[in-house]
Amino acid sequence: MATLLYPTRGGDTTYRNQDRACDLAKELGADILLLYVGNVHFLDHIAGPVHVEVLQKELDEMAEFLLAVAEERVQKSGVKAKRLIKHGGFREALKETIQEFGVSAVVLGRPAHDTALTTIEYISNIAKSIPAELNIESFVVHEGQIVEHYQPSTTENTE
Amino acid sequence: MNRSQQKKAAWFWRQPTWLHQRQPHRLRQWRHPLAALVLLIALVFTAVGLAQARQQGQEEGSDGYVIAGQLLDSQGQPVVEALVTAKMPAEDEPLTETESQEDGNWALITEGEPQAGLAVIVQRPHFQTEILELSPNDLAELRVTGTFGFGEIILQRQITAGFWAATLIFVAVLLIIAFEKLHSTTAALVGLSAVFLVSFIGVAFWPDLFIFNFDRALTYINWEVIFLVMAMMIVIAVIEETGIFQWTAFQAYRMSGGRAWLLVLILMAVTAVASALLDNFTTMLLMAPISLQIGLAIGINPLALIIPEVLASNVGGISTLIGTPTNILIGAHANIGFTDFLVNQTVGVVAALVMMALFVLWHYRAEWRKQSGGISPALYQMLEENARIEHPNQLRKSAIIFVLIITGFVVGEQFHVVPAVPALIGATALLVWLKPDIHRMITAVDWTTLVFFMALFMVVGAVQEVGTISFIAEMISRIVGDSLVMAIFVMVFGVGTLSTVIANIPLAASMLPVADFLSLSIPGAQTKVLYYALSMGAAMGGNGTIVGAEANLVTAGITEQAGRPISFVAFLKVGLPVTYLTLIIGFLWLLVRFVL
Repeated sequence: MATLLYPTRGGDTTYRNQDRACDLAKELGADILLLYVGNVHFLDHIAGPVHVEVLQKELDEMAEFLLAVAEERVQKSGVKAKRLIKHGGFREALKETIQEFGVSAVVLGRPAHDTALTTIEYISNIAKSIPAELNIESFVVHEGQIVEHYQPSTTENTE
Repeated sequence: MNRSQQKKAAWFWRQPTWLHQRQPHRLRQWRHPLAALVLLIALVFTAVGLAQARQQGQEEGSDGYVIAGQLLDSQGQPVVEALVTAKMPAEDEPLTETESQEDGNWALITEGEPQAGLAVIVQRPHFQTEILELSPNDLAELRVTGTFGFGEIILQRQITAGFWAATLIFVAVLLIIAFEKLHSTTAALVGLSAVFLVSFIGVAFWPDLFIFNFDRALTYINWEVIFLVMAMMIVIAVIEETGIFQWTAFQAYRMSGGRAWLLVLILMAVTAVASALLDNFTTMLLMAPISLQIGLAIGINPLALIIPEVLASNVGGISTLIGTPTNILIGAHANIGFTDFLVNQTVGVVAALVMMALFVLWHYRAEWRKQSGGISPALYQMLEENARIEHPNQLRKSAIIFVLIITGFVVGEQFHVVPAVPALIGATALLVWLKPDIHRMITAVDWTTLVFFMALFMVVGAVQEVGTISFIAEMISRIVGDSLVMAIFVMVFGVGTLSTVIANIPLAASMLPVADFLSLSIPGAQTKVLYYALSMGAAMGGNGTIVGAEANLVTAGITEQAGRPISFVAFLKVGLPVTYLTLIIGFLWLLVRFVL
């Protein structure tokens, strides 16, 4: 069974993109692997008593819950879903997961807000690099529409 | 000054304390005759003391003459470590020299008969040099009695290149922290290094750049704060592992029966109390993730729960000594204890929280109508699992120790035991009783915060040393005049407004000397009301913007991890009105408590 990777943090703006990922999974006859990549880099600029282990555990529990909510939504649409939590850099975690789970396509949601970690350019660059480096398709979706599509043979946007 | 001379000088200065002894209450009707009697006795003892001092000097083979005085700055604060020398005009070498002490007092003992032209020279970096020549009458008095007192000598500040250097460095540190260009600790260390570079290397090229030396810099570190913060970090590290915060939040969810408006009120109350007892930063660190899940569970925007929580945590912490880092700073500096904060702040804080709750209910009114029909049993079970008490035994033991620490704070005040002591004993007791992995516990102490405090104290010390803080204090003093109400207003709203953009810890640290000056110079301010005003301004102002408090930043970091970033504007829309509403309530409360 093919696997479509959909990284998410569970924000409400991702629901439409999630629905689009479900449609793509159905088209490809794939399951969806929901990936949450967490990191505590936001603590780098904060002076305060942080017990990182405890915070990491709380964030992991929060991530489990966010992915469980997403999983319920995906399963309601008739697509099988699994969930996975990873820590560290987004790009590295994504590549690691693709290789580990034999992922056949990746759907990336364009961020609704530019944050320190993800910007439109950042997501676009990752989407471009995936086919070249890992030989699989990548999609960028925004408000439920595919806005970028890259195939292994080309780094040009085919949308 | 040799040992016998030092003894003599110390003895000389001990005598006037007779004048300050309090009379018993039952003798109040006799206070005028008694005061006269005490004065008379004091004069006799002083005279006898001076004679003894001289006699003692003569017995020890030194017929010294004592010249003394007290150095104050223009704000009446003692000037310490000033070099005081006695010199004859024709001679290059001084006759004798000494340094002013912590209270600004100094005493010179000269050998031999004092001659005409004898002068005392007072030198201190960042002050104008004062040359005090003894008049013929002064010399006569010195020869006859063996002592001469200049009384209070006011030293005038001098704006040096070091003044500008230290001020620029301090402003740069504040800006770097405000714009998050560097971690706060790194920013403070960069500032401190710059101060030392200017003081030690810059001075080789231009002596006027001198700010202070290393020993002097160390005197600005408030070790009481460092030890209290460190001890409380250990205690909190033990408590936070128990899951009590998450369990409480889940109970709030159950109690509310899924009614979001009720849930937000309960969560605000829980957060405010937890912040007062532990600290607002840790409270938000642990409350934000579970609150986010609860928000999703009831189908509303989780930020409608989390933003009010962080606002409540910043205000709730004001009511105790350990509730906010700024209160720890203020308490240690102004000797304000746990009970003092509780008694003098709590009513104002509760009133401010009520006002905040009303505003929050109105601001997020659309959210309360959005509730969904709840979550699936599987998700509910997961939520319940995430909110369980993890280590009940650890919770029980840490609760007992925590109650004892609080009791130690309260009882310790009666015996002049500083809060750091019960906190340190409590933290040690926890380590002994629970036997946690000591390496893990020590890593739970956030050394970056402690280093931040130490570096910050020295950077603020630099601007105190060169007179920037005095300059600000005098400016504020000119604005408020003798009006206590005006001083409270400026402290609450001025600091509150600055605190919306400037990190409240450095702001509070730099405003403490200003509060010292105003507390001394304004009638009625001796009740320490201006320190309470500073506490309220610094903490409530932190609610104004997302960068106003560390608790806000950590909360924003957590919500961003859940794909729900808090934008600057979204926070401002609710934070700024809440800031000014609570500042008004806080100001009115301080008037009721201390002025009316």
